[in-house]
Amino acid sequence: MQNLPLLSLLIALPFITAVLIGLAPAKSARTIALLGSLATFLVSLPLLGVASIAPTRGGFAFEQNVPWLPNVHVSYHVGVDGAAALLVVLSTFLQVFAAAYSQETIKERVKEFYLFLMVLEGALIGAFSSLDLILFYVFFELSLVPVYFLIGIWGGKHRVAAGNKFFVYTVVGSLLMLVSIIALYLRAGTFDLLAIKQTLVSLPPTPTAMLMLFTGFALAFAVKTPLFPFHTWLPDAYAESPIACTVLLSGAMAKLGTYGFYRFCLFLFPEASQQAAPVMVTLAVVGIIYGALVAAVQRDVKRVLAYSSVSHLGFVVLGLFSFAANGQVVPQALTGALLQNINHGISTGALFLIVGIIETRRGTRRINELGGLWEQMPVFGRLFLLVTLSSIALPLTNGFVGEFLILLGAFQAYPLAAALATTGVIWSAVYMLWMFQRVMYGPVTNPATRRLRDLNGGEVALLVPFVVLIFVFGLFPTLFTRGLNLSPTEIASPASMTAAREAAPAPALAQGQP
Amino acid sequence: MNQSVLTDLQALICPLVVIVLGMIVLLLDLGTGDGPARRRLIYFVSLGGLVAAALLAVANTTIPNAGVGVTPLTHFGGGMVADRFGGLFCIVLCIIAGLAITMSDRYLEEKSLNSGEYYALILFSTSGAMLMALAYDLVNIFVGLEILSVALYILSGFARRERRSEESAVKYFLLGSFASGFLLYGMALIYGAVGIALKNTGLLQPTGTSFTNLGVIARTIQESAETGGAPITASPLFIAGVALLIVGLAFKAAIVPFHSYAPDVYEGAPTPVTAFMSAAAKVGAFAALIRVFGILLPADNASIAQAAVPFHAVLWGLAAATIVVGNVLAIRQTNIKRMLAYSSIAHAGYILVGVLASSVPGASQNAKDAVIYYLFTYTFMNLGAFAMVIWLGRDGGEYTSIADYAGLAKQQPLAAAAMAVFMLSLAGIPPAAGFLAKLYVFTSAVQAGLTGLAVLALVVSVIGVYYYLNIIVAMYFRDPVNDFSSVRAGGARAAALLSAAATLLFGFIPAGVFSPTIQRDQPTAQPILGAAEKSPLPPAVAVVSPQP
Repeated sequence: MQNLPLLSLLIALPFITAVLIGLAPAKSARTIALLGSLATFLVSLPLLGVASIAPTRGGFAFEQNVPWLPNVHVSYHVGVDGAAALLVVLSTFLQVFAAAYSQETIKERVKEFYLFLMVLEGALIGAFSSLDLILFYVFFELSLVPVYFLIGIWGGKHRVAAGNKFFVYTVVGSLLMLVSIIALYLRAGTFDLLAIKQTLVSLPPTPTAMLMLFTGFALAFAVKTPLFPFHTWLPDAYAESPIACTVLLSGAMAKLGTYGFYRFCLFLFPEASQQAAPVMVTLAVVGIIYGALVAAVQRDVKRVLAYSSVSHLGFVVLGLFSFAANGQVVPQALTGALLQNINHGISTGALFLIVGIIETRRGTRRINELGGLWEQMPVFGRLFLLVTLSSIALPLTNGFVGEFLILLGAFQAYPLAAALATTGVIWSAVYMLWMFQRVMYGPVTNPATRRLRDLNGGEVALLVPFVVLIFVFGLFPTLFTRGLNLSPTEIASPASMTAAREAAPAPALAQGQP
Repeated sequence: MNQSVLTDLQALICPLVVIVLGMIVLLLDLGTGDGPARRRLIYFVSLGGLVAAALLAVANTTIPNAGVGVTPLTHFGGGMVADRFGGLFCIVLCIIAGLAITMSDRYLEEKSLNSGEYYALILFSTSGAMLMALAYDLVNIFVGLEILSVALYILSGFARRERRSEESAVKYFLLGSFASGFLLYGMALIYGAVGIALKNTGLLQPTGTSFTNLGVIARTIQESAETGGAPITASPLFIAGVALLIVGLAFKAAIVPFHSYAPDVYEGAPTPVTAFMSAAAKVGAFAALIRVFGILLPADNASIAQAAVPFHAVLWGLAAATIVVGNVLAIRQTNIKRMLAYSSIAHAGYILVGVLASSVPGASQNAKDAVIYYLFTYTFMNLGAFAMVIWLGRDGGEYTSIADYAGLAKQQPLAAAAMAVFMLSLAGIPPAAGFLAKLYVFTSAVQAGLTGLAVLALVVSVIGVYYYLNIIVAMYFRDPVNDFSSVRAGGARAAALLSAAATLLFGFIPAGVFSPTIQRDQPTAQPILGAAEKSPLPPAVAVVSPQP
């Protein structure tokens, strides 16, 4: 089971589907995309085992290592640990719903739409499972291209500007990461993540150099997450892109940033991460509060959710760097952060689908043009309410578990920051409930609302799985946390990688050691 | 004796085949009747000959590069050299000429231009660039450059009934002649400096070679440093000579501030010629630059390296300026040919970063390989982009405004996809080959201690992302304004699709002989991003201060 090339199959399936969509007639594009997404999701399910039974604590499962560009020691090295496995499954899960939701809503250039959507999924899975820096970089950048087209072709009124801003902004961040990657290569003689880690342990560069290398990576992920003040591309990109793309963008792609912090910054540079932790935690807390306050005054439901993402992902970064600062004492901060990564994907994915449903029916996302929807759509209202409560981290829902663990950890590392971040929980209740109230309750102010029909069976089927997951993660979080419950030594010491190293000895490493 | 003549000829087989091919094409043009059959014959003879020339050049790629510690395998009395470096450049030039010829067929027909002369000139020009890559004597470099340039002057004015083409030819010719003058004057000064040094040190001039021979110059530099006196590299004559040499070659490679002709010439010249010269002239100039600087400014000797410091600083500045100016000015362009002209200036800057790295020991081999790979992929993406302009033109005209391409994706999805591949590759977005090219060049630059320059180049290259995306925005996000239902297609389509396939493919798989093998640093405890980076002259500093 461990030796199956499962990850390669997972990476290949979306691309194969994309090729099939390209070759097939436009009429069948929808069906092929949905079937391909479903197949990918089903194939990805065994990965859940990695997170729940943690067969390789601190190591990697489903590892595969094949030379790709031998001239520069780039290898096709993939493998997942608990955090990555959950993110891959999250991506394939969201993809199914993105494809299903688009069946009715995307009317023009259908073939290209699904082609780009599938490429995006493939790139995301690839990035989450890469254990080679160049392989990761290639997938990381490749994921921008389909999103750019998705926003630019099927987006809203200001789509071109939003797409350009998104693309250029994120490319700037990742180029600095490329410099760090190059510097690491010149030191280690390989792009392999594990071999580089070994070199950094056996031949540590100066602390200043470590900090600079860290900064290159951190900037890329700060833009991607996004961390305040690098978030300015986000509201436009989220608001202008088609719903299916927003779901993947906020639910899965933004996790590339937080996952990157975990996989590269904390793993390769634990000392530098510790040094930088006060700065990162400060930015995270500013982001939590700022995102929440700005979300409260938005007039567009989609923008409320966009800013809420800034706030929620601030919690994840807070957890990650509280762990980096004081990991021995507060391992739960990491568990919480990695779990919250998934929780946010579930809640936000559902919320954006809900916005999509509202917009398709009423033709607007402006809060003041809505109101009183509950009367016409009670089933929809109930589902919406549950997801909203999950987003504001009500106990019993998934959001509570993650944020609670993060705050628990952060309190021991940075009491003040944690105290300030806790107000973010309150703020999120304010903006989410206020938005919910204005959209769903109250008198019907607009006659168009009278004509609305409640959800049909398909739409209910679209939202119910999310609600189920909200409670599964809320009530039984330990199902999935065993693979996330790592101590600092487990994520940052080469000793924990023994299993992985034995499976695939890095070739360049052997000759590098005198 | 016969044996040696044969080896000599074999070393130069590639340019020889191309020159003879050019003559055959001229003869065919004279000898056979007029009409489409003759055009087709000439077309395929040229392409077939280029394929043969490229295959013949492969044999040379196994010969180790001339350089530090490796005695070059010279031919024709030391005037030419055959090595891996030259062989790879010859292959790249064959590809450039092949693509340029492939995309010209319908274009020449519609403009009723004489195809025989045209193909012959492209072939002659190519052979000139090849000679530059294989030359081991300053005079031979100059001869190669003139063969390359004179043919290009004629080609840029080839559509002689068009005003813009005439203007382009005159501009190119006047400025190019000045540049050649600078180059020649620089060579004369170096000749003088070497001669004086040989006389002063009492060293005998080896028989049969001249003061312009790179081997002689290298030995003179070495010995003048070893005898304890002032090294020749510190003499004013020599420094002035090298400076003028830089000017001459920088002009051909369109490096800022010697770039100002490029946009006008590129815009006015017939598009296939623009495609050809945007790559061929650069390849020739960069081959000569690398070859000459490896000899004239060797960095492996402390006392000589000191003299090279100002030149490294100058090249550093030129590279930075070229990248910044090329990228910044490209943003405002609305004409696609001018945009590509500025973009090619920016790319010359990236390549110059590699050239600069190649003059630093330790990174030298990596940097040379990286530069060759860059030129190899640049050939496909840049010529591919120009081929698109020809492909989508019709009735003797072309759509040169970027706005003209609005909505192309709806009418010609394949063409739009190919163009998108070129733009993303030029912008350096993986997995297109342009990304690997940038990766290799900047890796060698960081290795050479040029971290500051590499960061600058990478950050400024983001501007490039913006203007390349503009074309994608037009093609995919806007509604059509022009009717692209009947387009020129023909060879231009073949060239564009071939280039697009190569651009994508070489992003995934290693490109055989062209793939550089980038070695890592020696595993010492040197800081990766240490003090060297803060100094304006990292390579020289790294050289001058002995390693602990």
